[in-house]
Amino acid sequence: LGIFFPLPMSITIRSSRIATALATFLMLATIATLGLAVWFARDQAIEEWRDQLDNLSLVLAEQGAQEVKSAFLVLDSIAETVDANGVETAAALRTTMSTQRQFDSMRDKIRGLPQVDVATIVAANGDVVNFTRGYPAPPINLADRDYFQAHIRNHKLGVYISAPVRNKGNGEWTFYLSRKLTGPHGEFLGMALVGFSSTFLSQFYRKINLGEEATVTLYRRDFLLLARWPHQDALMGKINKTGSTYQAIEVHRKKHDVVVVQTPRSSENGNEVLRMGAARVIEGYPLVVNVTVTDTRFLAQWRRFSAVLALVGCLSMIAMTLIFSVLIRLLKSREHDMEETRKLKSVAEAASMAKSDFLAMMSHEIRTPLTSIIGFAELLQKNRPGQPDGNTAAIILRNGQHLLSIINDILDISKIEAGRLALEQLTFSPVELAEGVHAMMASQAQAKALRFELVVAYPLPAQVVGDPTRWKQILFNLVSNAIKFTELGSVQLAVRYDAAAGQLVATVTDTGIGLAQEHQACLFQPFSQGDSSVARKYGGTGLGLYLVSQLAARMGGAVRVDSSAGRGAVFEVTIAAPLAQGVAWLAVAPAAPVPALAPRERVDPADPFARRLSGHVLLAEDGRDNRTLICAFLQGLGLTHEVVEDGAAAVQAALAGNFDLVLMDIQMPVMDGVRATEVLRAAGYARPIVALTANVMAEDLRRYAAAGCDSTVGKPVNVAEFVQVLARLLGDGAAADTVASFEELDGYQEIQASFQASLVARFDELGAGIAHERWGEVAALAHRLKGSAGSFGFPGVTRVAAHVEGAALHSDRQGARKAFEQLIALEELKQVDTAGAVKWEI
Amino acid sequence: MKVDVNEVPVLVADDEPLMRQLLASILRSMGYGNITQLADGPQALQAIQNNGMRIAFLDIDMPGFTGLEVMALAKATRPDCFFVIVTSHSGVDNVLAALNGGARGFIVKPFNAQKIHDVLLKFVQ
Repeated sequence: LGIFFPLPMSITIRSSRIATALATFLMLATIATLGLAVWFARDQAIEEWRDQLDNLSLVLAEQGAQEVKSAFLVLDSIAETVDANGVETAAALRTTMSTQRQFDSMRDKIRGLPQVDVATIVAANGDVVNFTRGYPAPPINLADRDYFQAHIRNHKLGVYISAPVRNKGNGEWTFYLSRKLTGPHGEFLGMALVGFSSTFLSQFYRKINLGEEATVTLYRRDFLLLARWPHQDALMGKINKTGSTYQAIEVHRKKHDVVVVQTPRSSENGNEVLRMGAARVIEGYPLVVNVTVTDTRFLAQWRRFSAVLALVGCLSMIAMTLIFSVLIRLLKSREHDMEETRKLKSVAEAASMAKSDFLAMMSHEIRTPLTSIIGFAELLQKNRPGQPDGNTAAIILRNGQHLLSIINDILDISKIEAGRLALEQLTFSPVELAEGVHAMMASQAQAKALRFELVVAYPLPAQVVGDPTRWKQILFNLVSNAIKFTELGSVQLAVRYDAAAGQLVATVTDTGIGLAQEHQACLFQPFSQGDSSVARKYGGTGLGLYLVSQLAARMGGAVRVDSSAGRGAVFEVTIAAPLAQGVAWLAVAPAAPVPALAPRERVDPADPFARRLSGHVLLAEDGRDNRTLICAFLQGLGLTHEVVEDGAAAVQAALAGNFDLVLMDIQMPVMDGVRATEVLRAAGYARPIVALTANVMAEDLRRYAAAGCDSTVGKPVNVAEFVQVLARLLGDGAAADTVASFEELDGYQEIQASFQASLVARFDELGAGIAHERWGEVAALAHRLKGSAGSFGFPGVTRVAAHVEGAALHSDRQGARKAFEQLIALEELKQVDTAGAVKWEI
Repeated sequence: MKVDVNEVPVLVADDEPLMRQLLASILRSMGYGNITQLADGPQALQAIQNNGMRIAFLDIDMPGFTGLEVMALAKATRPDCFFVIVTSHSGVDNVLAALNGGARGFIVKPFNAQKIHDVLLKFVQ
């Protein structure tokens, strides 16, 4: 499953979150892009309009200048007429310029100028001398008019443009252009003026047609409104200092400019309106022309563009949302599926683990009774060698051992599969190990009349690092397989060291039945054998080679086979085995063959019970059969023993008794063997303690040693090993002989005598107490007796006094009396006068 | 036993004189020359606290304070003292109580010289 889902959980869980973040980012980016586009488009629209309006204002200024110039030409011609006629006084002006001829001349001059409403000649006192509206001129005085006042105030004033005034007759608006008329010596003679039609201008501006919101305005230089389209009576003659014209000309000090303002607008009742105004001073005249468009006009196109863009944006948002929601949903469902898969995987793994656990437990459970079977068969065989019973026992033993090896294989496999096989890293000699295997298997090969040889390729490192037990197991399996499937010929075990790869290589070659190509593939699978017909003939579980391949793989190597049917087989197995530190290389075989490895081989395997040991042993073991078996072993070795069934009882017994050694089962009820050992060591118990256990992995052994065990005997108990361990530890007990015996103690005789002398009195008290059923007193007396008598040579008193104490604690009159009778009848009290106490016996 | 234990102050507290004498006699045979014998709890406590006992054999059943109580009371001021509980109550609960209370040894009566020797191995080491 791991192959299909290689991503760790944390990353896969986040993929939908990443998609969400990506979607959010894309949407934000889209919004930002559209926003920028709109922003730039707005700028661009404004720029375009700015150019357009600037050009328009130029055209209008040129047009305005032309028309004003034409009007001024009329004024200039009147002045020239005055000069030509040599008018020198005001009176002369009146007579010269009020003629019919002058009237006609003026009419002719303004006839081609539709913008000029009227041309007038005014006397120095303000009287109208002549004007184009009718002849003769009516008696009108214009002395109060702004233009007249202006010229009177300022003699140097050349031309003057008046505020517009409304013609009361036709309601049209007119402003006046005026110039002074002077005599040859500069004397003021009067003035000439022309009425310039605001209405004409406004009609002209109308034709520009920029739309409803656009305005074109002509201002005097002081921002006094002269003409405007659209025309508004209320604005005429008003000074406007809030609009774009004032901004451009006065604030920005420009001859012409285009500004965007949002200020109160006179034409909109003073409301603030966003607008763009192009103002331009008309060259040569105190006049300013302005074209203004509001945002509804100059941003119209931009707004349409923005609307389209917004629509496009909305549509893409919706599309993205849809796409991403589908994507995220898909991702989530995938994540959910993966989560499910993961759960299923862990369930499957747990189930597999449970299976392995079960297998391991079952194997263990089977081993325990098997241990008893093998042990008792060994005993039977030893007691009745050569007799039918003994032969039967030998068969039981052989079969039991075979079954045990199968169970061990299953246990190993289940450990490997559960990942609980702990490999050791020890230094060992590959030659010695191979020789050990050769020695052990030689008899099997001999029994089938096969040649069995060991070939060691030198140079070979003297020591390598690895797990010797497992390596030996691999070699045993391969060699016994080879012997099993070979009827004729030879089996060869070859060992070499591959220095380049740092591997030990063993090759097992046989001349047996071999196996066909098609059967080789499944050779290293569990529970499979080369050929089912072969399996029927030769038997076996099919676990051996699987175990070999698993062990080799765990040890950093591999196993492979080269064979064909009927032509023998070659198995080559490798394990990683780094060189031990500072190791020497053997160039040739060691001179003296090394004795076999395992401790069991060092003891004479023929009859381990030939040895006699002495000592008193405490056996703590809860399994009945094992207890019986080990007791038989102990008896066979000449050892006395006591038995307890749990760890707490073991602590109590070991502290109370005088044992030379404790055999401590590890798995026990109430208190396990490790804890019991710890407690005993903490309490100062110094005699040897030997752990009895089926768990003999390296870390287990370390645990037992840490608790205070001196040694460990594995279950099923190998008799030779058992004897060897006991012999060693009980031999050590000799060191304790330095302790003085009681007899050697100073003053012991006196103390002992005092105690012995006190016994009669103590029995008296005890007897009286029992007779009067004073149980508290009886228990206390018996307790003291129990605690002391043993130390003064009366172990029997200690033992029986404990019974008296027990009965007293239960107020058991009958029991107390019976125990008391036993007490005073003890053999060891023969030399003590107990007659006095006897009288209490009823 | 290479350590010179002759000067080590040892307390033997037991209300039974014969047991006391026997234990003292065993200790003397092992080379201990500075042995104080007391018969009750309060005296034992005072001796440990004031007279610098390095080893204290305490019987559980004593008048005044039990051996376990003496140990519990003395432990606070004399954590270095090597306490050995001596009793004929051999139950494992007693053993655990003694060990939890700080005892370094537990002797079940009736004892022999070997047991005393074994228990003191930890002290001499």
